[in-house]
Amino acid sequence: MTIFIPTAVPATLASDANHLAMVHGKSLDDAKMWANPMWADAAGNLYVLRQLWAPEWWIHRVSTIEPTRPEWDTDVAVDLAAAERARAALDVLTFDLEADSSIYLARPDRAVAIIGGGPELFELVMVDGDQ
Amino acid sequence: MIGIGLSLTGVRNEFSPASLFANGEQGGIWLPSPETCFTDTAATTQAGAGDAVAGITDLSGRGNHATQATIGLRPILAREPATGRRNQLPNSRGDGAAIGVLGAGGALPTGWSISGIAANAVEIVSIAQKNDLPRIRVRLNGTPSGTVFLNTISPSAGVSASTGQIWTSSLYYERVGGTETNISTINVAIGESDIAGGAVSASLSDSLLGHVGNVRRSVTRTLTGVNTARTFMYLRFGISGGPIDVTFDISAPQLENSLTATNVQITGVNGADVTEAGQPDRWSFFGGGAANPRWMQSPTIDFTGTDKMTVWAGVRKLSDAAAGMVVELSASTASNNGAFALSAPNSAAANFSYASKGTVAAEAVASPFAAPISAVLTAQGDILGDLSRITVNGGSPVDVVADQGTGDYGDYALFFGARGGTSLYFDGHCYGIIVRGAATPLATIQRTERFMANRTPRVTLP
Repeated sequence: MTIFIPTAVPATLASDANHLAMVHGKSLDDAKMWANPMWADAAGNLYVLRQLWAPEWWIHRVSTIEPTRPEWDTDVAVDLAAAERARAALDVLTFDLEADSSIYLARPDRAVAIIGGGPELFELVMVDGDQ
Repeated sequence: MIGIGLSLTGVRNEFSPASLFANGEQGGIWLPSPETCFTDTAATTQAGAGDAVAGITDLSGRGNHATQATIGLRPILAREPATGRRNQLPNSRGDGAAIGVLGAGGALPTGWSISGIAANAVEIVSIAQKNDLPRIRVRLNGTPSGTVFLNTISPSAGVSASTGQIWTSSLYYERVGGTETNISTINVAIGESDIAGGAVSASLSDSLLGHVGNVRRSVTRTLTGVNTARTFMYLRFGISGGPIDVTFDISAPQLENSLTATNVQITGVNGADVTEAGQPDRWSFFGGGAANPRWMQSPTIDFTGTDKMTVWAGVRKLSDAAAGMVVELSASTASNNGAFALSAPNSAAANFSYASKGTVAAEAVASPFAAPISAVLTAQGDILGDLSRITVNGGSPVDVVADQGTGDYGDYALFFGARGGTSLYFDGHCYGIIVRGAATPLATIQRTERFMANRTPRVTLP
């Protein structure tokens, strides 16, 4: 079943993450997946906050399968090394009240996806959402 | 002759928005539905409820079909009853359930969970329809470690709610096998929690223990927690000790901001598909604001032959936390001449607004209209006539007659749900948009408003 999966990607990892998005996407357009970092943590680090619309198994596959060149990428536009850096920096967490009620803060060195939670769990504030 | 006469009468009474473009006016009609929406930009695969939409057909005849190439930025096609969505559970239908023992092939519906008993003591026996409602048959066969909670939504995800609100949870329950030995009470429950999922407190329905037959049981709670941010519901089995072996059907769980349990609504695909018996479907695009941006873009549309514009939109605005663009001509009205912007809201404020610009922008702001709120918006722009007007639900228009400078509207793409695809992401549902590059007579404006109101749940025009 397709669900919303909130993700927080630090701005410094966004470029790598977009190469990973292209690996699992369908065209160069998927390089726009994590764009416009407009959220910040308490230390001022910038993030792209996005909710993916995908099956739960898909995000697990993204986080565990070594990136390979997608069939559509005949121009060799996807940087597989960047995609692998993003994959290695991706944490897929499952929010479970009974097991752990702690808040999942965004991390400046990791990309985080949370299954079963909402984007507020990252405790980020919008810094560039208006104009 | 009589037959022809009746037919003509019928045609006269039936309004088609395509008639807005009968004289060569530029613009478009975008009305989300499976008939107009596709999951690929080539427009070959029809979209269904819950699908991410790659393209939508322009029904005006102008060929201004809108698209979104990036998979993760595509609007979600959502369905809800004409009366609007009340059941806030994301998955009352039971999507994702699988027959078998949990952990050995069996699975609870997506988003559901169970605690107080080992997974291997829980079996999904069957999945079927019961009284035209989806039902799941569950067997609990083991020794619980304590009270057993069957959550129909994760308490941590929950449904956004606040203190003082009154919520009701309900579901159908019937014991179909086993016994109630060692079970002291069976209740439908409603809980509330703070933002971190903590500080849980709950109310319980009358017990279902000993009840024969399929019964809908509900419980209503006024939320009281100082920091309450969420509500959730579950089926609760009080345990008196020792092993239990009970098989029961559960169907139509419902969680609603209401004093009572209302007609059953079935929800699925994470809340993007909501249906109710006897109610026609209403379709919309969903985008989730800056945290879940989803938007579309038309081809460039040449409005250089007109300095007058009429725009209609049916929307449900879900947040006033930040500015959201319903539709904007050009990548930014702030930086382009001959542009317009219909916003919901125009900043972190409880409003709707319409800005029209020749070389100078003039913005009409209608307020207060606090989210969540559904509305039919009508915007009228006249550059040389210096008019920016916005009308909400056919009420009194807000006019701004400040100078808009000179020129006609431009030759730009329309952006739906964002400014230029890079900011001001709309948070809510859009049931339809019509953009007409012309002034429109009042009677035609009102007929089009009625047309749009009929597509937009919860809106009643004067």
